[in-house]
Order: sequence, then C-alpha cells, then structure tokens
Amino acid sequence: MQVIMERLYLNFVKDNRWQYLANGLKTTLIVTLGAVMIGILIGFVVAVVRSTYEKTKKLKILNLVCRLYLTVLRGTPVVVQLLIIYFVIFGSVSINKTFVAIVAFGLNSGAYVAEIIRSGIMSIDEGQFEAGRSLGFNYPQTMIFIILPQALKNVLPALANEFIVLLKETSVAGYIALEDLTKGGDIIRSRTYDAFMPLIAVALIYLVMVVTFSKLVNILERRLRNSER
Amino acid sequence: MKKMIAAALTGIMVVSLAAAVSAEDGTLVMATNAEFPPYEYHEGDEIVGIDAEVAALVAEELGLELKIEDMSFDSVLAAVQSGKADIAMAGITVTEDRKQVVNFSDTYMKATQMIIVAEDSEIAGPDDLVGKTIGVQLGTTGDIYVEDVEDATVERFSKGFEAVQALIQGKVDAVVIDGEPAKVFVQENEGIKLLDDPFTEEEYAIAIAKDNEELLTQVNDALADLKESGKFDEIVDKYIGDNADEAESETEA
Amino acid sequence: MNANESLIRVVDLKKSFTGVHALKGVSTEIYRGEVVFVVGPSGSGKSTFLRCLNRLEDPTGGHIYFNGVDLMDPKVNINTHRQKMGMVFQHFNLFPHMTILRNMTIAPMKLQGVSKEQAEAEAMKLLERVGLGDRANAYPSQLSGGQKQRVAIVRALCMKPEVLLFDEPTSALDPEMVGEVLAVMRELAQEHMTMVVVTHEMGFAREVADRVLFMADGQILEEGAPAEFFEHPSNERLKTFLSKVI
Repeated sequence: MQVIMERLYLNFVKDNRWQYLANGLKTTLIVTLGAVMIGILIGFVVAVVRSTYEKTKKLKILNLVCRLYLTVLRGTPVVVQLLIIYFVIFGSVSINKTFVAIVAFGLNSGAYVAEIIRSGIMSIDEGQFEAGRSLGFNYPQTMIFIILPQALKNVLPALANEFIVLLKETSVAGYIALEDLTKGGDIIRSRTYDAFMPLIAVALIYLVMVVTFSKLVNILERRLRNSER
Repeated sequence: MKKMIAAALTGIMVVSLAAAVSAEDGTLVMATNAEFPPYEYHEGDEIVGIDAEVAALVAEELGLELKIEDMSFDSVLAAVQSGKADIAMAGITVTEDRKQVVNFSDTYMKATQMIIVAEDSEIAGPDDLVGKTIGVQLGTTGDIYVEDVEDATVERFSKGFEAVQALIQGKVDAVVIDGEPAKVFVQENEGIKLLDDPFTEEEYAIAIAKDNEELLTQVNDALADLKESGKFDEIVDKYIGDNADEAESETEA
Repeated sequence: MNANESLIRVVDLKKSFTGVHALKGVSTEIYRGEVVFVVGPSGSGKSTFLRCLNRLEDPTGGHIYFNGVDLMDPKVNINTHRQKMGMVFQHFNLFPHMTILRNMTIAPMKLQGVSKEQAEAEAMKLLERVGLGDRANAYPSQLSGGQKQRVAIVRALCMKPEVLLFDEPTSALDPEMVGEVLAVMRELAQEHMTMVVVTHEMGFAREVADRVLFMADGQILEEGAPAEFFEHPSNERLKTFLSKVI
C-alpha cells in the first residue's frame, strides 16, 4: 500500500505533475470539439454535394473534388496528415498548434462524417423527396426541411461512434508537440520513469469520457425515437 | 475496493520484477532511442554511434551478444526498470531523479546541453531564453532543465530533428539539445547556429536496473578496460573526430 | 368557374428511359373543374404521364401548358407551379419526423408566407373535414394506412392547389381502408376540384369521372365519358383490358 501511495505521489502530486494531465485533457477536449464542428460542417457539405450528384447528376465538378478529398483523407493515416499540415502546409510559419490539430482532425473527420451523412441521405425513401418537391419546395429546401432531419436521426449512432473515434485519435496530437492528454501522460512518464501510473491514468480519463458520451447519445437517441411513437 | 486496486498493482509489479532477469540467455539487451547522432542513429539497417559501439564492446567483454532495442527516449529507463532491457544507453545524463529509479555506471562521456537558434536570432546566451518558445526533445535533460527557464514556453517534440525543423520553420525561438547532436544538426542545416555558451553541462552514463548490482559491476569493469586499452577513445574519435572539429571551428568562427 | 377553360394542355409529351419509350407523344387537355381518370394495364405509361405533369419525371419532349405557361420552358421556375399542383402518392409519403399538423403547415408557412396561426387553423379545418381532427399532434407512424392517405390529401389541399394529381392512391391500402379514402375523393369531385387520377378502381372511375383516358404502350388509345367508355369501348385493347379487370 505504501508503495502505491508513493508512486501516486511521485506521478501526480510531486511538482504538481497532475497539471500535465489536467492541461492535456483541456487541450484534448478543445481539439476534439473544434474538430467535431469542422467535421460536421465539411461532412454536411460534402454529403449534400455527393448525394445531389447521385440523385440529379448535377454538381459534377464539385462531386469530383469531394471524391478526391474523400479518397485522400480516408486513404492516409491521420497522423501523417497532421504532420503534413504542420510541417509542410504551414511549413514556414509559426502557427498555433491547437489550431493546426483542430484543422487536421476536422478535415480528417469530415471525410468520415460525409460518408455517414451521405449514407443517411441515400437511405431516405425517394418518396420523401418527391413529396417535398411536389409541394413546391426546391432542392435545398427539401434537403433541409425533409431529408436531412430524417437522415441525421438515422445515422446518429454512426456519427456518435465517429466522434468517439475522433476523441481517441487526437491522442496522436503529441506528434506535433501539442500537449494533449496522452502527451501529458508521456511527460509525466519522462519525469518519473514510471509507465504504469501515468498510462493507466490517461487510459481511465479517456474511458470515462467515452462512456459518458455514449450514455448521453443513448439518452438523445431514446428521446428522438419517443418523439415519433 | 482499495484492497483490490492494491492487489492488482502489486500483481503487476511482481510480474514486472519477474521479467527483470538479466542477460541469462546469452544476450545483452540495450534500450536506446536511435535518433540522437552521433551517439546512436540509424545508418542503413543498422543502429550505429558511440553508444552502440561502446555497448558492443562491453557485451563482448561480458561474453554476451548485443541486441539493440530502439524506442522513444522517454521509454528507455522504463525498459531497464521493467527488465525489457538489461542496459540503457541513449546519451542518458545522470540526474538525482533518475538515480531514484535506476543505477548508473561510471560516466563515460561529458556532454553539454547546447542552444541552437536562427542565424539572425537576438538570443545570445542562456539568459536570453527568458520568455521565449524553446523546442526540446521530450524527456531529455534539456526538456527537464528548460522547465526552470522563466516564462518560457516549452515545446516537447518526440524527436530531436523535429525540434530543429520547428526552429528552421520559425515555430520555436530556440532548441536546447545535447551538444554532439546539436553540432550535427547545425552542420547539416542552413540558417541556424550554435551558441557558444552551453545551456548546461552534464555527464552520460549507462543505466542498469536497481536490482542488478552484478551487471553494474561487470559493466563498470568493462568500461574501465575499454578506456585503458584506448579502444574507447578510438570510437569517440571515429564519431566526433574530424566532423566534430569542423563543426566546432565553424561555430567558434 | 368556367367549365370549358383549359387548365392543363399537354402537347406531344414524350418520355424515354434508357432504351424504353414510356410516353410516345401524348396530347390531351384537362379542363378546370374536371375529374379525369387515367386507366390502363401496368407498364402502360399512365403513372409516368401523371408524374410528368408536374415534372417529377422530366419529359424528354413535348409541352405542358399549365395556366397557359409552358412548364417545359427552361426559364420557368417549376417550384412555384408545383405549389398549385398538389400530388397524392401511392405510398402516402408523409414526413415521419413531423406531426400531422406540421406535415400540413410546413409548406404553406415556408413557401407562401402564411402565418403559423392561420396555417394551423386552415389545416385543422381540413383535418376535421376528413374526420381526423383529434390526430393533429400524432405522428404518421401512429396512423393507419387509410388515415395516412386522408392526411396526404388534405396536406396537398393546404397549398390551395388548382389541380390534384393522384398516383394510384388506394393501391397500397388494405381493402377495408379503400372506402374512407374514396369517400374523401368523391367529396372533392363533387366540389368540382380539378383532379387527375391514375387508378385501378374501375367502379370508382365510372362513378366519379367526368372523362376516362385509356393508356397503353405510352399512348392514349381511347377517351370518353365513363358511360360510353365502359359500356361501348371501341378500341380492341380497351375491350380486352376491361374484360379482365371488371
């Protein structure tokens, strides 16, 4: 017991080392939230462009651009994208690393969100579209009022899952020397040379976040379902 | 609940201790971070450098075969502690904190933490680092000492060259890193220079698990033999001989 | 209301899918206040014809004049004209994520700038007319097929259309629910709502229609008043068709 207390003290209390985790957690949350927002924005636009092309054969060029984006972003590891954005695209400028991470993870997540939302749009019965158009709604109005609300509800579990993946994926942010939660644990490790305590602590914090988020999504899902019964 | 956690933790520690059987299968496992020229770095398929060659000779003296495990620098001491490696050689500076968790051999190299800045930088010495953004390699002595610099923002990179890259791209104001690799970095990159005044001076030693006194003695004996026979200096000259002279004269000029 | 005023005039309407000619030049006229039924074997092009009238299907040739405006003119904003051409589908196509009331009010509110109060008041009046006043706040999934189709009809009516297009409105219903939907349509016909109805309900067509069109192979082969059409068909294909379905 004594040994454990000593190790807890050494890893988290001494020199205020817990602050590495606290600050790291803050960074992880900021990066994740920012990336989720960018991801949803990009995802929506790309999904609408892609499904519009599939339904009407319009927006051919935009569709090509979107497909290129999807191929590249889904075909390369996020950590490589992160490094490219930091060291190549923003190669010769001093730039806020949190911003870089938000952009990198947002761009990456957008590709997955796009395909999730697109599958949601395509899963909506064509009759819904025709009903909207027959009432006089134009294409964007039909999308916004009729198709997307239904599509989003259908893909909510998949979207939630993508955001859980994203939260965990941000753990590679340390590659650009951003001090996120994982890096916070690494810094403690590099000071105390103890692998167990910092890594288990980091893992527990991620786990708690993911479980909490999953629970919230479950509640939301149940509410949405109830609203139709 | 507390008891369960305690039991689990003790269990894990017992397992890690049990794993710490050293050098009994005829190999000497060395943990290192091979991104730290000229001490250890990749050349082709091989890991070479001062540490790698010294370790090979030490292993030879002990009648063992050397096996090098490459990992991140912040993991090398943990590797020794947990028995995944018998020794750690990665340009490891002896510090009081580190002495708490591992034993150190006699020191074999004197090293300095140097400051690299952009050629047109206003930073002229360690005192000018106050309030600046400083790039370091995570877990190195530079990282640890830089924390004491007032108001400085520390950017901890996983690799030394990334810190230097960030400096070249203007993302950090200075890089604090071990002297020998610093010379190589400055030599191979345009637009950056080494400051004359070192940030700190320190000594490198081989890290060995606390419970392995026997190996510690053997390693110290081997090191002494190598130094006496002049083989040690041969290795150092090979890596820091000609090239280093050039680098030094450049920075001194 | 002038019964002889042409509301929709179709001239040489053509539609071909890849390799298949679904409509081979259809011309006809729908008069204001007229109830026109379109019958024919499956694959005859009758549904395609109906869906081309508001360009849910894009015709490949010909003209559709609605209130004198050619809907095939690329400069025409089809959306504004669709507001005046209500459509009722075989599978109802109610919006499942909205209440019945919202299903009915969203289009008038978003497209015609009708206030929420007014839109809801009008919707409630229509709902009560079809006996569903108490279901205003229910969701479509809580309704039976017959109730859904009645809602679909009044949803179209909320836009105050000049014509209602029915695409096999009873085909997806259980037999015991057909009657309640036909009752609503009968009432509309009696009020001289202009209607174009694609259906298999021959008895209902005979009872309600002002005029019946027989389509086969993408063409109108015969048309006439129901009595003449059903009692004395002249076209051979129509004779065969009627002998099979009646």
